[in-house]
Parts: sequence; C-alpha cells; structure tokens
Amino acid sequence: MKLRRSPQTSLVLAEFLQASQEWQYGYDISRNTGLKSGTLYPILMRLADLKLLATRWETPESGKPPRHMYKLTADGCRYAREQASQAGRALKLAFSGVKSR
Amino acid sequence: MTIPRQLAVKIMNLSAGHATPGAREWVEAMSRELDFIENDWSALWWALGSTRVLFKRPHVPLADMSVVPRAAKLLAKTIRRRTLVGSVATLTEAVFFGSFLFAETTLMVRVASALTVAAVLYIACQLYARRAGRLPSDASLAASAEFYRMELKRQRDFHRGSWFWSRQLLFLPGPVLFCVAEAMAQPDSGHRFLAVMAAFMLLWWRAVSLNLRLANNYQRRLDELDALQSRGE
Repeated sequence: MKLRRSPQTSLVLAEFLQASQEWQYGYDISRNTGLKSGTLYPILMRLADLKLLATRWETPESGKPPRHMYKLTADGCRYAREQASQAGRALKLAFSGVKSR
Repeated sequence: MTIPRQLAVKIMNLSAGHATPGAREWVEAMSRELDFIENDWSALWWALGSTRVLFKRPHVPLADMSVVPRAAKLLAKTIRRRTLVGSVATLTEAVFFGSFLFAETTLMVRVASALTVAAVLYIACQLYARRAGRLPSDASLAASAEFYRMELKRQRDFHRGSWFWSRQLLFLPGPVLFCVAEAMAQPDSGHRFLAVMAAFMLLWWRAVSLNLRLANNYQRRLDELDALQSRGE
C-alpha cells in the first residue's frame, strides 16, 4: 500500500511532528490543520495501515467514554521528517528560481 | 439537544452500524470525538464526514493466526452474497436481452441480444464456478488457514487475469452493438442510444477498475496471511 503525497497528508504529518512524543486526539488535529473529518480520518487510517501511526484508546476516567489517540511511530517520525525536508528543498529551489529571474 | 446535534448523533449511530469491519473502530473513534465538539453545526459536519470512512478497509487486518477462522467465515459469507446477487443480476439481464430475440426487430438487434445473453450466461457460469468453497468441518487453525488461503487465491483470480478479461471481452460487444443497432433502427432517437452506450462504457470502465482493486485487496490479504505464517503467530 502506498501513501499518497497530498498537501493534506503533509499537513497531518507536520502537525504530528510539532509534538511527536505526545498522543493527539482526532478533533484537535482537525482543528489545528483545518481538515474536515472526512478528509482527516482516511489519512489517519492509511498512516496506521502503513505502521507510520500508532493508535490507542485512552484509559477511561470516571464514567467518561475513552477517546482514540494517535502518535507517529519511529518510522512515521522518520517519514514525516523526510517529507518535511523534501518540501523545504522544493520550496528553496522554487524560491531561488524566482530570485534569479 | 438541538436538531443539528441530534442529527449528528443519528448519523454517527447509523455510520457505526453500517461500517465495514475494518472501519468500525475508526467510526467509533469519530463518534467519541462528538462529545468534545462544542458547536452543534460543527458536530453535524464532523458526523457527516464519517460517511467517507464507512466503506474504507473492507476487512480487519489480521492481528494474529487466532482470528483466521473468523476471517475465513466472513470471506465465505461475502462470496456467497456476491454469488447470489450476481446470479440474480445476470439472469435478469439474460431475460431482458433474451426478450429481444423474439421481438419484431432488426437482425442486428437480435445478434446483439444473442451476444449479450451468451455473455451474461458465461458470467453466471463463472460466478457459479467461483462460488464459496465449503468451510472445513475440521475447525483446526491449520485447516481454516488453508481454506482461507485457497479462497483468497480463487477470488483474486476471479477479479484479474484470464478469468476476468475473458468476461470483459465477451461482455463488451453485445451491449455496444445493441445500442448501435437500436440507434440505426430508430434514427430519430439515435442520440439517446448513443448516450446510453457512453454511460454503459463509463460503467464498464468503473467495473474494471473496481475488479482490479478487489484483486489487489485479495492479494494484500494473502500477503498478510503469509507474513503471519512466516512469523509463526
């Protein structure tokens, strides 16, 4: 299975990279990235299928239903950093092209 | 509770009830987030998004070998349903096109109908030949795994390779010729039949890509089973 390199996937990966050691909730990721649930969750599912994302259910506290939480795996962090540096390089190249004109 | 919030909860419950086994956990996860969305309209949009997840991941990835018997049972059930729906659809189509063989119409329409009837009967035969195998009476893990592997291979080959392309090659000419023949027989409404032909070609193309995707899906499950067995889980 391949991961489509879409701007939305990059946004999600960047969001995870900001706090790579912390577990995050779906709604928080959606708010921070501005992605709708119907766009975000298929991306999370694909990342989890590729073992780039770890998932777990929160330990329930007094009567509250547990929430699903997400964190990048070690492979996921590596992949996200690679993507970020590639995007940075592409931006740099584009910028130098504009400057030389 | 406001109407948008009520709707959001209803949509979420519906989604959870209809999600594929592999997507159920994710729909459940989306449903739990609903309590933390303060704005009711945002909650409704959030819930509507769950419909995009419903049909993703039609199967649960195998966690270990102990779930293989259940996966084999589910697969057999899916194939049984496909055989039933497919048989009804092909036989209905055979009756529909067969009726043109006895109607007062042009020779070309009759030939097209005969071709279509032959093709759908061939598809019906293929569906029967690739019906679900009998689940092993021996409920051991090894027997279930063997059954699962065989069925995955059979179904993968049903959706790709010679089985699949022979079906497509036989099926395509009949309806296309039928539309052309009808357009020639009724020149006044010729454009209508050409539009039907275009729609048919689009549907056919969609069916081809869907079949190839299904074949890939079966192959992925085979790989998953191989990986589990090689790890000895």
